[in-house]
Amino acid sequence: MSKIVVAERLRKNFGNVEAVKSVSFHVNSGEIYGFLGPNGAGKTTTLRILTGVLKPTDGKVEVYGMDVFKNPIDVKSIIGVVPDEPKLYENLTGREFLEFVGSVFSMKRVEMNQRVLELSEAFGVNFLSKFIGDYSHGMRQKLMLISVLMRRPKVLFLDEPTVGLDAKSAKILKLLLRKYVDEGVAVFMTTHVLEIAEKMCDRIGIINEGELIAEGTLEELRSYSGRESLEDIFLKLTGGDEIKEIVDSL
Amino acid sequence: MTITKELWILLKYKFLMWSNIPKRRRKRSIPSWLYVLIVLAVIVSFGLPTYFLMLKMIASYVQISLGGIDLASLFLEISLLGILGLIVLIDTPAVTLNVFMSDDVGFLLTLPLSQSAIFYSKMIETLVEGTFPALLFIPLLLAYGNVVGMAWYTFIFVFIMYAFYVLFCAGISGLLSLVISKFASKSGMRRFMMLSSMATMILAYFMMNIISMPSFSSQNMQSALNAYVSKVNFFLWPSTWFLSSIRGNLLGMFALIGIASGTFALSYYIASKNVLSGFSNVISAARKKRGKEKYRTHGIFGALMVKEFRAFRREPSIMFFLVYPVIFPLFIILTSSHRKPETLLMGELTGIFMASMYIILAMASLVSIDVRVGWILKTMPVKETKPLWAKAFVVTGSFIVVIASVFLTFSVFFGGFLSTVLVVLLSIPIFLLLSFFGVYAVTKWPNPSGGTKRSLSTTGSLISMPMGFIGAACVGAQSFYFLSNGKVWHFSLLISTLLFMILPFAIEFALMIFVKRMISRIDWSEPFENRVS
Repeated sequence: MSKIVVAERLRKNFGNVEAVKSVSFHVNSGEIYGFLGPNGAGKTTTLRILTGVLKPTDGKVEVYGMDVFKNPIDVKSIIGVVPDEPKLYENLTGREFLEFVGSVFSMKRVEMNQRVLELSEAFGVNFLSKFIGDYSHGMRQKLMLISVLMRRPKVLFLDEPTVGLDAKSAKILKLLLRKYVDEGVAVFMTTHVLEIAEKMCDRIGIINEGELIAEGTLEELRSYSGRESLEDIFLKLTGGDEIKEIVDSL
Repeated sequence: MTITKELWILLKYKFLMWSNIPKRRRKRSIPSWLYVLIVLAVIVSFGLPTYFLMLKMIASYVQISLGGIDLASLFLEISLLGILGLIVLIDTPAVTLNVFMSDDVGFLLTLPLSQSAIFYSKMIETLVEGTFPALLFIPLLLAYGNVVGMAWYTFIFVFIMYAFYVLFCAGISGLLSLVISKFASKSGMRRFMMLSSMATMILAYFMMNIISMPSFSSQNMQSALNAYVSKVNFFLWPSTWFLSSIRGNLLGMFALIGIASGTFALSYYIASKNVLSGFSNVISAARKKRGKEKYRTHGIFGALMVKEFRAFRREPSIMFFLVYPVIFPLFIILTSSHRKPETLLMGELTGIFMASMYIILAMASLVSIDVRVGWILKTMPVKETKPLWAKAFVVTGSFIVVIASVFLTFSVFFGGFLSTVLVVLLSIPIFLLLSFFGVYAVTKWPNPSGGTKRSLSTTGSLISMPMGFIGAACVGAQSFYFLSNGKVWHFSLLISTLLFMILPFAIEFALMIFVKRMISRIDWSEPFENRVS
């Protein structure tokens, strides 16, 4: 397996606050890398740096051997990003939005039509003629997923991709991601849902207060922490062990 | 993909978004031929009278010569400098807001688009909306060309050069916004917005100083005029390059084209250096506090006031509303050659006029924030009118405090302390009424695109503007009445009292009844009639 995404000593400061503290990891081809952490741990900031949206204070990110900030266009041509709260153009219809994304990626019309049709059927999307401003969070999420998946990116960056999706769509997404990964796609995914991470991710990185505190396969994390379930491992590593005491004191 | 194609795609879909707005509101869009006809009618109805007015004026000015230049050309140069100031003043904050604070920039950055293309598309979007003052200049150019006897083909050249002039102005705005963006982050947004305002204010003040007339109390009128002409007709001004170029001077032409292209090339170069990736969405860089956090509780109304004050303070577009009514009058005051109480009064009344309109917009923004997170207030044990009163007090109070503190400070140098206080006191009830009108306006005419930056639709803004002016006119009339001891100009005491005292109060009273009735009819479970969610 080759290293597709390589993050080296990433650091990001916002004023005096160090949001990401020298984080290094890599994502291999044909692998789903789960990025876990409590709220405000630095997951989304890291994802934004990886996708070239936010410049790091220090450190380097490479995708397919290309520096994200030195070759932004080349990198962005092969990646797909699904943010946790897609802020889309309210005055475009879903179809117009997909056309826009397809145009930016120079997609062939026939290929695009085919892909949109397939993905719309898969996710039960029948609202593309409506304006995005009238969409619910789940509808926006599905539209965003279609806009990314329709162009078959080689690397996927997903920020809480199942939030807002109905059970069927979430299941389809999981299976679809596994299928793409089997075809060699690399997936970097942040999630709060530990069950998803446990079942889907090949390797997991846990970030807390901007630091990568553990990384490895589920087995490696189990042996490292001495706990069985990912929930217990996560809580032990992120200092959530005292939950029972907290609940008792309330 | 080339930058041209990237720009084309971005602008094409932006245009689609604009043209979709009526469709999304389920309103029938106007047929394009009718739209063209309306636009033409507006242009002709404004342009023709202006053209003939200018023609007459320029014809008389062209015969007067001052320091080696005719007055018509000098007038053209002064107007061009004014246009430069106006475009820079309007566009710089607008470009910075649109480029660096737009919600969609984060998404666009994940696409394989060059940052220059994103920057330019955002800049062009803003300029299309903000460079309309440049169109006002066309009748003047036509009149000038006709008076000096230009051939028809020369007009084409004049308009090409004018396009370069406007490009130069826009390029300056773009560059300024890029410089300001070095400080931009959402965490420091207020500081950044203030910087932007300050930068444009300094530039505009500089411009106004150039074009303000010399003092005619001067002992040597001729030398004062000559000094003035050399200040305006100065080889470093783009207006002078424009004038030289349309008179056939190649150096002027190359200077204008070269520097206009240069400013764009420079902004292209800076924009291509990943300047957009530097911006941050972090809400605030919170300081780490030691020890236990202490929480303070307020009564319900106090809590609402604190919340509204924070919303007011932290929403940069609302802060803008607060700054402008002070900035513009300050130009009038500072560029005036007379330091008299009357100058200060005119400045203060101008500020009141602007504030009256912005109060409606600020209130509309605050209400739209609440409506968008409506469930929070809806699930609280608070009467519907209470948050509105809290908002009205915060908005009115903020505008009054800012206007009073600025103009009372200036009254130390200009005199007229009591008149300043009087105007402020007379403004309070009107400001309160207008803020409540803002509540009605935002529920009646919400912006279908949502957001707090522009919470009113075009109709709402167009109706709010005269409402603000009517309110400010009441303050102005009452101020004149009191300051002239009941005898305004040549009117008799009775007529003065009727026109400048009773009528304004009657209008205020009618406005109060109207607003009260309208607000009582608002269905707060679905306040935005146009279904904005």
